[in-house]
Amino acid sequence: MVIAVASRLLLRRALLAVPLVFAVVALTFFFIRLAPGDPAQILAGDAPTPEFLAQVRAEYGLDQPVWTQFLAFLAKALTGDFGTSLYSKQPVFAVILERFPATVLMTGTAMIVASIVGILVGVASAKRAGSHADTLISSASLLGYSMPGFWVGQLLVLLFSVSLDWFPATGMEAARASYTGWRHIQDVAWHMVLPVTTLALFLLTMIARFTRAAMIDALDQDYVLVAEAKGASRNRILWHHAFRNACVTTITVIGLEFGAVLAGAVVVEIVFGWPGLGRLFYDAIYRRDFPLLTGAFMFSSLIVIGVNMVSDVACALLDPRIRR
Amino acid sequence: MSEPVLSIRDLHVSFPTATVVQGVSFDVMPGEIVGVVGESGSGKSMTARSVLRLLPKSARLGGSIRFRGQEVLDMSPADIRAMRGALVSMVFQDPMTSFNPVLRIGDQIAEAMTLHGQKDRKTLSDRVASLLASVGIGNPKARARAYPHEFSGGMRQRALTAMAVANGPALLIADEPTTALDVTVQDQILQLMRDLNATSGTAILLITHNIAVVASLCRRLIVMYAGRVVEDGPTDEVLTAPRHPYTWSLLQSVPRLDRATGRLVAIKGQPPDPAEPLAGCKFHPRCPWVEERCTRDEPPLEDGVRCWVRPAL
Repeated sequence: MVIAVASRLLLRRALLAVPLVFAVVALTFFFIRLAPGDPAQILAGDAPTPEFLAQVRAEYGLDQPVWTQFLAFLAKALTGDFGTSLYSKQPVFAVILERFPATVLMTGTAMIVASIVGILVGVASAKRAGSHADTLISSASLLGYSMPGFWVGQLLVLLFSVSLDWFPATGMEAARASYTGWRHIQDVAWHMVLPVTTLALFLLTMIARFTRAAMIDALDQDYVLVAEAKGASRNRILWHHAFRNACVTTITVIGLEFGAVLAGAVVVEIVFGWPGLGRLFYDAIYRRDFPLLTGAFMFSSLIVIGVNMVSDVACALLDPRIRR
Repeated sequence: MSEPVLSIRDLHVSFPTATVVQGVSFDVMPGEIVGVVGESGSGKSMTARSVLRLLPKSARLGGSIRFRGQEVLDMSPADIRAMRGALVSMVFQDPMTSFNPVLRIGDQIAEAMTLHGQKDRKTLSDRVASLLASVGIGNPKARARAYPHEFSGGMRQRALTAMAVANGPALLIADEPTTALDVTVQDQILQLMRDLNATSGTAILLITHNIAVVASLCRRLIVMYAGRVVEDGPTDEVLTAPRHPYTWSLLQSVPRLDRATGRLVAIKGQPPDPAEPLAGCKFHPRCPWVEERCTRDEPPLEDGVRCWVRPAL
C-alpha cells in the first residue's frame, strides 16, 4: 500500500516536473545570452582578426539568431545530446557527470550532518523551551544562520588550517601522497571536514529553528497529554508522538532549502578548491561556456526537483492527512 | 465498608500567580460513579489532573492524594507512569485533538497496552479489535487501521474511551467527555460509561459542567466553586434539595422541562479571580443570603456543605 501511494505521488510530481525543467532550460538559455561577454572573443584569444572571430562564431553556431540556436538545442536535446562544452570540447553531460561524485559526496554529507545535528539541536531546544539553554541555542543558531558561507569558510580556514594546522584548507585529497584503500577514505574525510562544516552550518541552523518551532507546537497538543496519561515516557512522547508530527516540517525545510544548499556548494567549492560541480559552473560562467551552463542549470534543477519530489513523498507517507 | 479507591485530602494546587485548588477533600469508593460539577475555573479539571500528576511544570501540589492507600504525591516518576493508563486512566474533553493525527487508531490503543507490558502482537491486535467492538465500532479489525481523521467525533470519543479502559483500570477519570459532542453522541458515551461501570466495576470520576450528564450517570455529586468543594452528597438529594446557595443558584440557571420556571435566573456577578485574595466564603459576593461573618471567615466543609448560613432552599 505504501509503495502504491508513493509511486502514484511520484508519477504526479514527475509529470509536473516536465514543464518546470523546460522553463528552467529556456530561461537559462536566453538569460545567459543576455549577459555581457562574447564566448567567441574568449575562445579566439587575445586580439583575434575579425575573420577568425567570424569563423569561430560560425563553427559554434553563435552567428545564428538566438531563437534558431534554441530550437537547434531542443532538437538535439531530444536525442540526448545536450551539446559540447565550448572550452573542453567534451559532451556537456560527460563533463558534468565527471564532477558530480565530488559534489554529491560533499553536499550529501553536509545534508546528513545538518539533518541529524539540526534535528537533535531543535528537539533538545524545544524540550527546554524558555530555559537559558534554549535561549543560548536559539541565539547561536540565529548567528549561524546570519553568517554567509564564503565568510564562514574563510574564517574556518584561518583558524583551523592557517593558525592551528588541524585540517587541510583546499582540495579533496593530499596532492603529493597517493593513498589507496582505507587510507584514501581517511584522507578524503579529513579534507571534507572544513567544507562540509561550512556548507552544513546554514542548513543546520534552518533545520534546528524550524524543528524547534514544530516541536514546541506538537508538544502543546492534546495528544501529547493523552500519551502522557497512557503512561508514555518523556522520550517516547518526544520522539514517537511529537517528532512524528514535527518531522513533516523538518523534511519540508530540508527539501525547500536543498536549492540553497546546492547554491552554497558552489561558493564552498570555490573557497576550498573542491573539484566538484560548483567549481565547474563557476569556470563555465567565467568562460561564457553557454552549452555547459545550460546543461549545468538543467542538471541542478533536475536534482533540486528530484530532492523535492522525495521530500514530498516522504511527508505524504509520514502524514496520512496529506495523502490522497 | 471497603477501602476507597481514591482518597483526596486537603488538596492544594497553586501556580506562581494563583492558587486554583484549595483544600479539596473527597473519596471515591470502588465501583462508584462520582460527578464533579462546577463552572470553568472552579478547579475541577486541575483536581482531576492532579490524580495523575498531569499538571503543567509550574504547578505546586500540596495535601494528599491516595490511590488504593498509596500516596500519589510521593510517587517516583516511574511509579506514576506505571499507574497512568493502567490503574488510573483518563478521557479528555476534545476527541478531535486527543488522538495523534499521524498514527493509526489501533496502534494508539495498542500503545496503551504495550506501555504496560503487553508486547505480543497477535494478542494486541485481538484486544484492540474487541475493545473497538465493545464501544460499538463496526468492522473493528479494519477500523483499527484507520487514521484519526477518518473517524467522526463520536467515533473518536468512543475509541478514546476504549483506549482508556484497555488495561482494565480501577479508576477512570473523564474530564468533560461529552462537552464537544452532539447530544445523541453524548448519550452513547454516557451509556458506554454506565456499561463499563456495571460490567467491570471501574470507578468513574466524571468532571463536567453539565448537570444533566451528572444526573443521568452519577450516584454521588460534588459541587466545586473557586477551587473548593462547596457541596458533596447523593446526586438526587443535591439536585432536588440543594443545601448550598451556589448549588441552588446553579440549578436555578438550568432550563427544565418538567416545570414552568419562567425566566432562567443567572447567577449575578463573576467567580472570584484566583489571583486576588478574597476573605470569607468565596461565594459571598454573589450570595443572596450573605451575612456579616460570611465576609470574614471561610466556612468549613461540614456534613457535605460549606456554608455558615445554610438557608432553607
